[in-house]
Amino acid sequence: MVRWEGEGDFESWKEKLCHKMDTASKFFRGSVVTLDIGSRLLTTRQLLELENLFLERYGVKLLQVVNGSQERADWSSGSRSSQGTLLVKRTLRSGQRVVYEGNVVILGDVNPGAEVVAGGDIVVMGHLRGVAQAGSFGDDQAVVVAFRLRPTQLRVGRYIGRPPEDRVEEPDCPEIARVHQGELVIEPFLPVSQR
Amino acid sequence: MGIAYVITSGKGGVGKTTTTANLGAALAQMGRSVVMVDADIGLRNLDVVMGLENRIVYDLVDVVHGHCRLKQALVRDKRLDNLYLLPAAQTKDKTAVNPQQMRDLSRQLKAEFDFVLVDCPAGIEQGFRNAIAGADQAIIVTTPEVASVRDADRVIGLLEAEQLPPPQLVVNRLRPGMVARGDMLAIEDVLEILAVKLLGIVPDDESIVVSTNRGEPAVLGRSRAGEAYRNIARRLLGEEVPFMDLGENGLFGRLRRLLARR
Repeated sequence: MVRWEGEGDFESWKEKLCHKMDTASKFFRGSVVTLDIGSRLLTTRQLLELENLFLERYGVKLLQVVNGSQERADWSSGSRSSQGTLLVKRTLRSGQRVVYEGNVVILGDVNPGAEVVAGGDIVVMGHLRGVAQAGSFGDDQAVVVAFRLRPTQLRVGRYIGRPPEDRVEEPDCPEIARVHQGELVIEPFLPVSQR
Repeated sequence: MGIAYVITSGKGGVGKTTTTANLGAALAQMGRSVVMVDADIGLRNLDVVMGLENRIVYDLVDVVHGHCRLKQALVRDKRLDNLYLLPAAQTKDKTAVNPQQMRDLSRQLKAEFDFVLVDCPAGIEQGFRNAIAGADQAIIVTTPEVASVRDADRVIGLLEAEQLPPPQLVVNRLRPGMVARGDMLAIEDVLEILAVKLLGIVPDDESIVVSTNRGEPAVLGRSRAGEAYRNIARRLLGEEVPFMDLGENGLFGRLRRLLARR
């Protein structure tokens, strides 16, 4: 696990990270690294660049990039302009967190104690039991869809919601959470023909 | 060359030490050479649970720092000849050793023993890092409680990041009656969240408290929990052992129904 919060734009941030890695390049060679980049957001291209850089320059396999210590995505800066989608092909376990400025698709579950933060939409092809925050830059149009939507807490745009304490029936079907007329609502995710 | 298992849980008090002691004793009873390593430096317990406290001369930290040879620190069990304990230091703390030293230690022990069982401290800090460093495989212990399962999930995530193979799960202190009434998480609920292979189910059993206090592992006596631990040991040796019937269809359930009919 390498933590590198750093400052400045991507290039200077990267340069300083390289400088740091250079000092311990022998230590890292041949290892597998999880990079914690604090509150920084990276584009897909930047992620790929980092991955190549680590592999070629240091012989290090970049297993994953996480935002460990991030407090909350900044509401005001940025928009949903970069419409990239991050595909996460595993289950997120307690304490694991994925932060991405575009959409996030999880092929697996999001367990209690795990968190997904996306600038755009979130799709979970499994059970969503943790915390999901869609539209993290303040986009109220974002949605959260899951095969089984049982979140600890949901945040969409500026809205925060949690399942009612006395939710009796837990529908056995995919559901979607979105903001409708100023309220965060959850409804069955129906095929287009049935809406 | 033996194999090193770390017994871990995240949460404290779920039965890591009890599980280590009983699996160690059971494997030794089945003829394997076993060493149990207490990695809970500063809060050692395994020696007490095994009833070997008064035989300790050197400890793990002494070995790692070269104050003694490895063999001098190993405490032989008073009942089983092929069972050994490498005790933790009580007067130091977790920073007294580092993961690399634990890896070296584990390599040395694996050359001598069939099984190295590392009893991991609670938490996910340095003590945990040390304990998992030398392990080839992990056994996760959880109780059927939400908090315990949550911590187990966290630990499984950390083990994945360390590139250990998928861990196996022991669900400890299950109370079938409470599960039947819907007052306790069922095995299925636990597995749905953790999604790992089930290695064993240990029923809640008062005899564990007794055996722990006496320093006699439960597998050496006759108890439900002891039987469950023996089954787990057999599974570790590659045997296919069906899970104990703890529900209403078990002997007790049938007896109870029989009596109720009268």
